[in-house]
Amino acid sequence: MPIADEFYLMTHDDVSGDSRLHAKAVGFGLAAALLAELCMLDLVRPAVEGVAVRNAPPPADALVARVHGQLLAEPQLHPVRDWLAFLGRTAEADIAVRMTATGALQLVETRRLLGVQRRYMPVSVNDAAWPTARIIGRLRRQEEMSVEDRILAGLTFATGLSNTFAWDDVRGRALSLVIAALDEPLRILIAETELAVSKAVGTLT
Amino acid sequence: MSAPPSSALSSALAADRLGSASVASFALTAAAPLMVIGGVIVAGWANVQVIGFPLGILIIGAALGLFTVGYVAMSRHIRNAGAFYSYISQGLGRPAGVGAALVALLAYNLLQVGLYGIFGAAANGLLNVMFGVDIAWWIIALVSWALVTVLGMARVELNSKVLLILLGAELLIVLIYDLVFLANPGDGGVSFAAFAPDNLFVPGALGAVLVVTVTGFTGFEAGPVFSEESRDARRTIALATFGGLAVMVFVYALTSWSLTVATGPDHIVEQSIAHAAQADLIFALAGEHLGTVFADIGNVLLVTSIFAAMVSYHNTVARYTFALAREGVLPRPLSRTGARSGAPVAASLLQSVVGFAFIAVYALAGWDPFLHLFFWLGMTGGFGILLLLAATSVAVVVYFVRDKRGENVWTRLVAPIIAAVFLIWAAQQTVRDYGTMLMLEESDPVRWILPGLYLVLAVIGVIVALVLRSGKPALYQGIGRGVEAGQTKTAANPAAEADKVTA
Repeated sequence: MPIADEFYLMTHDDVSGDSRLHAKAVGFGLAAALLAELCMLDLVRPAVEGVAVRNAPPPADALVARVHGQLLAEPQLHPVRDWLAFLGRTAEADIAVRMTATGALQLVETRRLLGVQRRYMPVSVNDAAWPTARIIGRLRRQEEMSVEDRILAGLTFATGLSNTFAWDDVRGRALSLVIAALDEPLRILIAETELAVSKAVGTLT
Repeated sequence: MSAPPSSALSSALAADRLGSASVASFALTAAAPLMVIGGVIVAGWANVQVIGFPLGILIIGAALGLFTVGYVAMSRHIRNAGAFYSYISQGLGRPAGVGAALVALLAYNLLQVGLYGIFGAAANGLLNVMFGVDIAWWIIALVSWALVTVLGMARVELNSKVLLILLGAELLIVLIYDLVFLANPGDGGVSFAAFAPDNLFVPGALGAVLVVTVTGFTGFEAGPVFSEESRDARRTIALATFGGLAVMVFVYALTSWSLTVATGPDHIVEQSIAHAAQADLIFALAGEHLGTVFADIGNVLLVTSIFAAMVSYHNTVARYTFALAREGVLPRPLSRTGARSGAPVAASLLQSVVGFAFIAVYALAGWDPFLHLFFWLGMTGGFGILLLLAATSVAVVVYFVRDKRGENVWTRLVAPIIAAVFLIWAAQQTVRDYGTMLMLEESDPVRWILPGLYLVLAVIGVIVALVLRSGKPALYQGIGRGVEAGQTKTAANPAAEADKVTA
């Protein structure tokens, strides 16, 4: 499953599909996850001065291809935080659509007093709970983690999601070692996500 | 921001950004014009007992205008431009910055808890007038405290459109009052005595007038907080800060002057003494000419504006605490946020505990909510802001002496130096006249204890910074970054990084 899809499951309740984080943090986190997918394809490279993009045939996945196209279309380099803000506006909905197409989520419509409430809910509770359980378990047992899992662990920390889990024992040293072992572009991506979420708390808007 | 319009990213982000009017309205909310005139300035007349507040407002307005020149210029070059202490740590060094951070924390804290006093007093008066009930101030204050606590935890910002409408209504009714006051002068003619230097430069009173006035302007400094959220960091923030300041100067000076005209300059002090405790002088006078409906509308707007200011200050203090905890100057657990609300819950909760403690102590001790809570603590908060303004303008000068960064002589030297000299002088005058302001004997220790708190905190801050410098150099290097302080390190040295995160 793509990184962003797994992070979507981690940031949403495995039964109700409700978000576990505030809207800005979800947006920044999922935007970072999408950029991470492009990093893994070696198509973008987040750096301190901005997100560099490599011109290449579009990736197979439609959503990732679209983001790649958006990066290519920009005439100049933009800082990571601008990309997080830009992609963060639509990332949650975009990823939900992609996950509905692959059968991980379903769009449930509930008739309410006024209008219809639409929400994306996980199709399988077990599948939805798996990424969180896996990451926590591997951190706790200090097992070797794949790059994808390290990214997920990093984003969990950066978005504040790690505060919602009762896993004090794996916070701190284990988590930071996992992040520190990532390549520099991914560390920058995670650091910028952490700052974006922090700034969202620290300002009014 | 400087991107060409063809960029989809830039134009999409620009659409979400704030214009000058929105930024200015955030600043003016904390200022709350009716509260400043009806509460702060009237209380000033009652306690300091000189007429010249309108002139004081013009002088402080001019000084803050000069201050803003350098303040806004430096905000374009530094990170975390929202807080005085980042200016001070980047201009005068990190030890001074930490000292300033603690001073700021106390100053905003005192301003916030002081508002519980005037809210209790004003709402008590309003309920009395409208419904004939007399509810103890501290019960009202506790109700407002509970609301502020809930809003702070849930991160419900008062809707900016609602605030703008309330602010507009407030300004409108103040201007109506002003017209009526000027059309009905008290002592048979429109007198400009309020602007006469003789009525301000009174020995023992000048410093008190200056600090009371500075307190009224608190909130004008909020603009640069939004530099990253604004459409054009260069223009929007400058326009909003100068615009907000100009509105404040105009409204405060005009209204305070009209009040002296309405009562006659010779009676403003005695009238203020009679009405200060309920903060209703302005409404009593308006009621004489406009009828009770207009007076009651103003009174309701006063109470709502105090509440809005209370929420605004509460969130300011919470964010300040959050930022300091993020960079490790305050204990890290205080940077804890609510995952779903995105609120700085730990900092917000701490602020609520402080507010509750003050209300409880004042209620149990039977101290006066207006004089002892609002005025004493509020003005002491204002004095802290004055100190920070003075230190910040010095920091601006030093910062640009090291590197001009393309700013012109007026912006980086002349304006901030004049501002610094004036603000330091004003602070020194204030210390001298502190007793007069609080209506205390010169021998009363409180007169030294309240302003002295800042000295104590500044010294503690410097010591903390020096301890950090030798003990945790990485953390020390990050001081002044505030919410920009991240724990994910981008440098490649896993073992060292892990230590910092767990630190």
